[in-house]
Parts: sequence; C-alpha cells; structure tokens
Amino acid sequence: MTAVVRHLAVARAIAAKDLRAELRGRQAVTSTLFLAALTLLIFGFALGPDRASLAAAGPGLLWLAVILSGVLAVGRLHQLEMEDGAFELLALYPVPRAAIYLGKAIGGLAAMLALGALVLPLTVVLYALDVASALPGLVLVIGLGALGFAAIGTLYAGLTVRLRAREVLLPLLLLPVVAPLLLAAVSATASLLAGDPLGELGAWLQLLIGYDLAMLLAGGLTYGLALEE
Amino acid sequence: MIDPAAIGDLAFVAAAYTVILGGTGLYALILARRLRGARQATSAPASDQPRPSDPPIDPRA
Amino acid sequence: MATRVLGIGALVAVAGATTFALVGVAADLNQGEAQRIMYIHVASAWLAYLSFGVTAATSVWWLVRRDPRADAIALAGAEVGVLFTAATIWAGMMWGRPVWGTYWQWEDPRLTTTALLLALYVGYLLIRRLTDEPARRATRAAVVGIVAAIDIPIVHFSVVWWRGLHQGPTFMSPDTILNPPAPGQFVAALLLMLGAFSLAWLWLMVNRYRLARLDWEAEESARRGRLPGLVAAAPAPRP
Repeated sequence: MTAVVRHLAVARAIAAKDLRAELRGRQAVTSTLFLAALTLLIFGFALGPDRASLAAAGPGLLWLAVILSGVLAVGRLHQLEMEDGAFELLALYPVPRAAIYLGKAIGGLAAMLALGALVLPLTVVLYALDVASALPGLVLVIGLGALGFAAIGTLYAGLTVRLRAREVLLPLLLLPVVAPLLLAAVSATASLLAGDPLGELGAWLQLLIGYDLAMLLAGGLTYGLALEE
Repeated sequence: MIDPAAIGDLAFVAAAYTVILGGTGLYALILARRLRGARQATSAPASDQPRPSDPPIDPRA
Repeated sequence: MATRVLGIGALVAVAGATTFALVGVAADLNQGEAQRIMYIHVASAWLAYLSFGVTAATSVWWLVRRDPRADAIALAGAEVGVLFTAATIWAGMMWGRPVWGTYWQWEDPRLTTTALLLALYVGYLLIRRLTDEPARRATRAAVVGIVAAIDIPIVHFSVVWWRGLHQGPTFMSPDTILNPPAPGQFVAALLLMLGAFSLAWLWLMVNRYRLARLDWEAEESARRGRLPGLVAAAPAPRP
C-alpha cells in the first residue's frame, strides 16, 4: 500500500512542478492553445464557406485541432525540461519510473483537457454545432480522448526528447498510433451530436477506454527505458 | 482467345506483379551487395590497432 | 551454403507460382483477370503481418535479455515487413482500380489497417536511423515496435466497426477468394504463391539478419577503437 502512496506522491509532485512552471510563464502549453484556435480558423478557410458541410465536418475538425496541437504540447512538456537540464535530473532521482511517467502524463492530460476545453466552444461557434443536449457525453469523450493521447504522447515525447529530429519524429510516431483514438473519438462525438441514431456510442466508448488502458500500461512499463541513457 | 475488355485489367495485373517482384528483387540485390561489402570490411579491417594474428610485441627487441 | 540453395529455391518457386497465377489458373467469373492480383496481394499481406509479429516478439526479447541477436532480427523483420506491406498496398490498389473502380476504399479494413501498419513501421525504422548508439537504438526501437504491435489490433477493430456501421453498397474484398470456398485451383494458386513468397521471405530475413549482426559488430568495435585501452565503450556523445 505504501508503494502506491509513494508512487502517487511522486507523480503529484512532478505534476505540481509542471503546473507551477507553466503558471510562472514557461509557456509550454499555453502557446499551443493559440495554435489550436488558429487551426480551427484555418480549417474554416480551407473547407468553408458552406455551413452545412462545415457542421458535418465539425467533429473531425475538433479532434484534428486537439490532436495536432496536442502533439506539440506533449513534446514541449519534455523539451523545455530538457533544455533546462531538468530532465536529466529527473532521470537520476531514485524514484519509481512509473511514478515519473504518471506525473508527466498527468501534466499531459491537463494540457489536453485545456485544449479540449478551448476547442469545444470554438467549434460550436465557428462550425455552428448544436451541443447543448450532448454536453455531458461530450465532456466524457473529450476526457477519454485526452487521457489516451496523454498516455501515449508522454511516452513518445520522453522517447524522442533527446533526438535532434524530435520535432518531426514525434508527430511521425504519434499520428499513426493515435489513429484508432482519433477514429473512435470523432465517431463518438458525431454520434453524440446526432443523438446516437445507430446505437454505436457504447462501442466507441469501449474502444476509447480499451485504448486508454493499453497505452497507460505501455507507458507505465516502458517510460523508464526512455529515461535511461 | 483474349477478351478485349480484359486487356485493360491485364495492365493492372502486370503493374502489380512487375512492381512487386521487381522491387523485391532490387531489395534482394542491394542486400546481397551490402552483405558482401560488410563481410569484406570485417576480413580486412582498416584499423591500426594490433590484430590478433599479429605476433606479440617483444619487449626485448 | 544453405542460404544459396534457399535463394535459388525461392527464385524458382516464385517464378513457378507467378507463372501459374498468371497463365495456369483460370480467371474469375466476376472479377476477371484482375483477380490474379489477389494471389500476390494476400501472400504479401500474410508475410507483412508475420514480419511485424517477429519484430514485436524480438523487441520484447531485447528488452528482457539485451541480446544483440534479438535486435538484429527485429530490424530485419521491420525492413522486410515494410517491403511486403508496401507490396500489399500496391497490389490492393492495382486490384481495386479495375474491380472497385477506385484505387482506394476507406471502408476496407485490410487496406486502411495495412496503410497504418506501413506508417507505424516507417516510424520504427526512422527512430533507429536517428539514434547512433547501438544499445540505445535497440531499446528505443523496441518500445516503438511493441507499441505498434499493441496498436494494430486496436486499429483493425476500429476500422471493422467503422465499416460495419456505415455499410455502403456491398463491395468486394480481396479476401473473397476463400469465402465462400473458392474453386480448388484458386486455393492452389494462392498456396503456391504463399509458399514461394515464404521462401523468399526467409532468404531476405536470414541475410538482413546477418547484415545487421555485422553492422552491430562493426559499430561496437569502432566505438571501442576510439578509446584504446578501455574494454567497454565509454558513453558516447549524445546521438
């Protein structure tokens, strides 16, 4: 039991440190929020101006904006630490690797949730989506999607942070792996907005949960390997 | 004999087989060449470290 | 050498299987001549997935035992796998154009899953290329390889569900050769092609493995050579 408590304490400390750094102006994640908003705007120019087709594309565009900005966010959460030399120190701490992973992943989750919280109302405004009745469900889907992305994003960000070509390599590795997450999240979102006519929502939620668990497990088990040098 | 309508399809069949067999063959050739090169490199190393086949250095010499 | 025999055997087998597939077997009633592509498409697909299974398993082996042979097999599997995956997709597109009327079909689970498989393993090869130190490279690649292996079944299920919910007009899949049971000669042609390709696959794997081992040894001795007097290589500059 104390092992679990220790893990959680370490994770909390790491996550709190990341949050403090962010609030003090580190700008790891906050800049990606602006990028997400900008992406939504640009999508409008690329796919508009027909409101009907934009509304139909709404769920997809929502998740594309979240994920594309999310790749940058999880990358920066490791990268800025690396540049400060703090990442090496982190790797040297005699704490369980899974706890470090958990702490970084919590930070990643917070970043993804922030992105989701921004992107959802923007999509409503820009693409005329009607989300009122589906809001609780949407919050759940965004939460599950955010968790899965943070889980694998944190692992791959840790894996690539020391490489010269990490800006290209991280999206190159992440995007194929999160394809099923994207598919499930978009399908669940679209189905929620339409009132779940085909009764498919349950299946997509199951897929999201399964994905989240699989990626959390993979991250927890292998993040330590990414840290070692 | 050959159905004229099938000639279009045959083009796709030909494209499929030639590209795949050709590509695989090319990969095999490059692999064989690289393997030959790597084997030659290990049998004739360019290093100036003493090799195991060299006689032991005689301190009295 | 045994591998030389294997290589010649593979060559002969592939030539024979191809000849049979192109002229020996009859064309399909529905799909016409294009159906012949299906033999090479299915054979490539099975070997592509086999290759990546090998990479996934040997990645685990590396992480557990740090045996350089495991990493060599993993690399061979990934490279050969990329080759056969590209072949699968190409054949699928060449089949799709005459039969579906289109080169690509989003609802075909095999095509989309295989495309993602290609992307996943190109990433695997890329992270290898960007890491200089052999053991670091093997570990990073192993993590990517294992995550990719976990991802593929999830991708498959998601695309199958995706298709199932949005079932358009019934379309043919390249797998319909075996379902419903196809004429004996079709199955024979497929098995012949699969057998021939398996021999080729084996030859490619064995030789790629050998090359990987030689490269590893060369890298290791070069690293040791840079620091004379030391038995083990000191940590190299950040790759």
